[in-house]
Amino acid sequence: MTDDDRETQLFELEALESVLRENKLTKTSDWTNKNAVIEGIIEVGFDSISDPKVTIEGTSETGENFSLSFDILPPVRLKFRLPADYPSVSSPILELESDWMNQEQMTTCEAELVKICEDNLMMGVLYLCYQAIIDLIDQLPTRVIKLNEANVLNKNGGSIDSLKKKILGKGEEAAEEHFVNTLFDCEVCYDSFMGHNCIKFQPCAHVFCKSCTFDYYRSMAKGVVSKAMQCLAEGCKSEAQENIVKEALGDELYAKYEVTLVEKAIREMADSVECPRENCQKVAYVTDRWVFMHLKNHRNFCFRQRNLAECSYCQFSFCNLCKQTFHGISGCKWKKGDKEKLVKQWQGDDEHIKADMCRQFGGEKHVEALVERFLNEEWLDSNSKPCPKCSVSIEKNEGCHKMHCTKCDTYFCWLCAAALDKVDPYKHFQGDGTCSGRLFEGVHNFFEEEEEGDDHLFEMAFDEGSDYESDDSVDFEIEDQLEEWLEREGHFDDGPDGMGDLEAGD
Amino acid sequence: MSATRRLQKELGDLKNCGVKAYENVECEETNLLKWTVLLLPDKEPYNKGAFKVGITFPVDYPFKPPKVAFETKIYHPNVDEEGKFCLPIVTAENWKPATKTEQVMMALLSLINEPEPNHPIRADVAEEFQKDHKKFMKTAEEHTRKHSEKRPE
Repeated sequence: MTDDDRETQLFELEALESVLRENKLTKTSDWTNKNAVIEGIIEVGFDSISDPKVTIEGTSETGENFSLSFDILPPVRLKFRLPADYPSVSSPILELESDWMNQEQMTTCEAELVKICEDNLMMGVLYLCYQAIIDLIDQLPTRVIKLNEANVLNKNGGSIDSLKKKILGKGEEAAEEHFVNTLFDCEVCYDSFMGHNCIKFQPCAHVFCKSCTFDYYRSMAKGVVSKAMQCLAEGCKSEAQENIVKEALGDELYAKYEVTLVEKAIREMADSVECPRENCQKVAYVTDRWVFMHLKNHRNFCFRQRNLAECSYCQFSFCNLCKQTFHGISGCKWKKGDKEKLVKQWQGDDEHIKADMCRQFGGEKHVEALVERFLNEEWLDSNSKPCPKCSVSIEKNEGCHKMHCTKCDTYFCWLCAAALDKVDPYKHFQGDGTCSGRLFEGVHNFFEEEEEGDDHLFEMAFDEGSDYESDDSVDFEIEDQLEEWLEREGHFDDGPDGMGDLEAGD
Repeated sequence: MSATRRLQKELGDLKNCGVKAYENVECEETNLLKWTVLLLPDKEPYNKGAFKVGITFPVDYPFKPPKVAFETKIYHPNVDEEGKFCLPIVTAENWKPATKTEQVMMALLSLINEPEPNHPIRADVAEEFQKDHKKFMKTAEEHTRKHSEKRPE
C-alpha cells in the first residue's frame, strides 16, 4: 500500500468526474479519510447511443402483455471499490447493476470488464470500463428488451410490475435529463439553446426555443384566438401543453385565452349567444318556445318563438334581437328611424331636448352609451358583414372574398354571405354559381397600400353582439295583425318571408 | 427588430441554396422586409420565361406570415391579373413561425408548375385549361413570351 496509489486513485476519479456529467459519480465512502477504502457508483447513461429508440416488453403478474417505448435506455450502475494497492498491483472490484439487462447481457458485460482490467494492469481502468459498457449496449443486436428475463428479477426476486414502474420512471428521467442537456437549434430564430431553454412538443417531438414559442403565443393571444396553441412547425397540429401556454401568456392573458376557447366550444354546441349585459358577457342560451294564442274568431294559434334568450350566469332574460329585457311578442323597442332621430338629437344644439333625453334614459352616461351603440351599428351595417354562423361582425380590409371567421372558424363568401365548405372553400368561386370567378373582384393591390403586416382580416368583435335590425324581428301588433294576415292569406301552411317560423295550429 | 437575424439568414440561405427554381433573390437596400425573387418554373408553358415575385414581411415576422404576389404578369388559372393567388401555406390561419420562405417559394412553384384548375381564381383560364388545353398552352406561351422576364443565362 502506498500513498502514491491513493493519489493516483484520487487523480483518476477527479479526471473521471470532469468527463462525466454532474451527479454521475457518487461517493459511497469518505474519500478524504485516508484509512477508508474508496468506493463509489458510476451511473452509465445511454443518451449518446446512435439510435436509442428501445422497446421494453414483458408480461405482468396479471398475465397482461405490455410494451413500453423509450427514447433512451434507463442507465445502469457500475459499483466500484478500489483496493489500497490499485492500480499498482490489484484491479478494482467492480459490480454491475441494471434493472433491465438479462443474464446473457450481464455476463457479456462482466466478462468484458474483467478483460479490460486484465489488459490494463497498473493503469486506471474506470473510464475504460464506463466506455466499454456504453459500446457493448450500443452493439446489442436488438432494441427489444424482454423484461421478464431481467437479471435483477432472477437474482433478487421482486415483482415485475414494480420493476416496470421503476424502469418507466428511470427512462423518463433519463430522457428528460438528456433533453435538458442537449443543444438545439431553434428553427424560428436560428439561435442555439440548451434543452432547458426549449419546449419539446408532443407527440411530434419538434423542439423550439422558449423565447420564440412564448413570443408566438403572446402574439396569437393578443389577436383573435380561434384555436388552441399549436407546435410552431409547418403543418404540425400538436397542441401545446396547458402549463406552457399559461407560462407564456401570464395569468391575465391566459384567463382571457381560456375563456375564449371554452366559449368557442360552447358556441359551437348549442343555440347560444353572448349576454348583452356589459358586466356579464357570459354565454346565454336561446330557448325555443311555443306561444299559444287564442284568437278573436275562436281559433287557437301557436307559433314558435326563438328570440328569448337567458343568460346562464346572471339569469338575465333578454330579447335576442334587440338585446333589451325580454318583451314577449311585442316588437323590439328600437326602430330604425328612432335610432337616427336620437343620434341626431344628441348631436344637435337643443339643450332642452338633450336634458329630456338624459332624464328619459337615466343620465348622460347612458345616453352617450346608447348613441355610441347606434353609431357603431350604423357603421357596422355599412362596413361589415355578419358571419353566417355566429353573426359576429366582420370587416374585410384586404384579400380575396373567401372570408374566414376567426371566432367560429367558418369560411364564408363576402359577396353572397354563404357559408363555404371547410375543406375546399374556393369551390364556391368556381363553376356556374353567381360568385364564380369573382374571388378577387374589386380587390385593389394591397402591396401599394399597406406597409405593416396586419392580420389577413381584421375583425370587429362587437361588444353588443347585435347585428340585427329591429325591423327584421317578428314585429306585429299581435292579434289584430295576425288575424288580418291569416284572413288575407287564407291558409295556415306557411308564413310569408321573414316569418318563416310562424306555424298554424288548429 | 427580432426578425432581422432570421431574415438575414433566410436571405442568405435562399441565395445560396443552389435550387435552380429561383434566382436573383434580392431585398430592398434599405428595407430587409421587402424581397423580390425571380421564379423559374420548369414546366411548359412557363419554362420559357422568368417571373418576378414580391415578398413583403410583416414587422413581427416570423410570428405573422409574409405577403407574396407576382409582379410579372402570368397567364395561370390560379393567379389573377394583378398577380395575387391563394397559397394555403401563407394564410393567417395556417401560418407557422417555423415555415421558411424557401418552403413558401417551393409551394408557389409547384402551384405554377401544376395548376389546380379545380380551385381556380380565373375561372375562364381554368375552363380553357381543362376544355381546350391546346389553346390554353398556346395562349399561355404567347403571354409568357410577351410579358415575362428573361431567364438568366
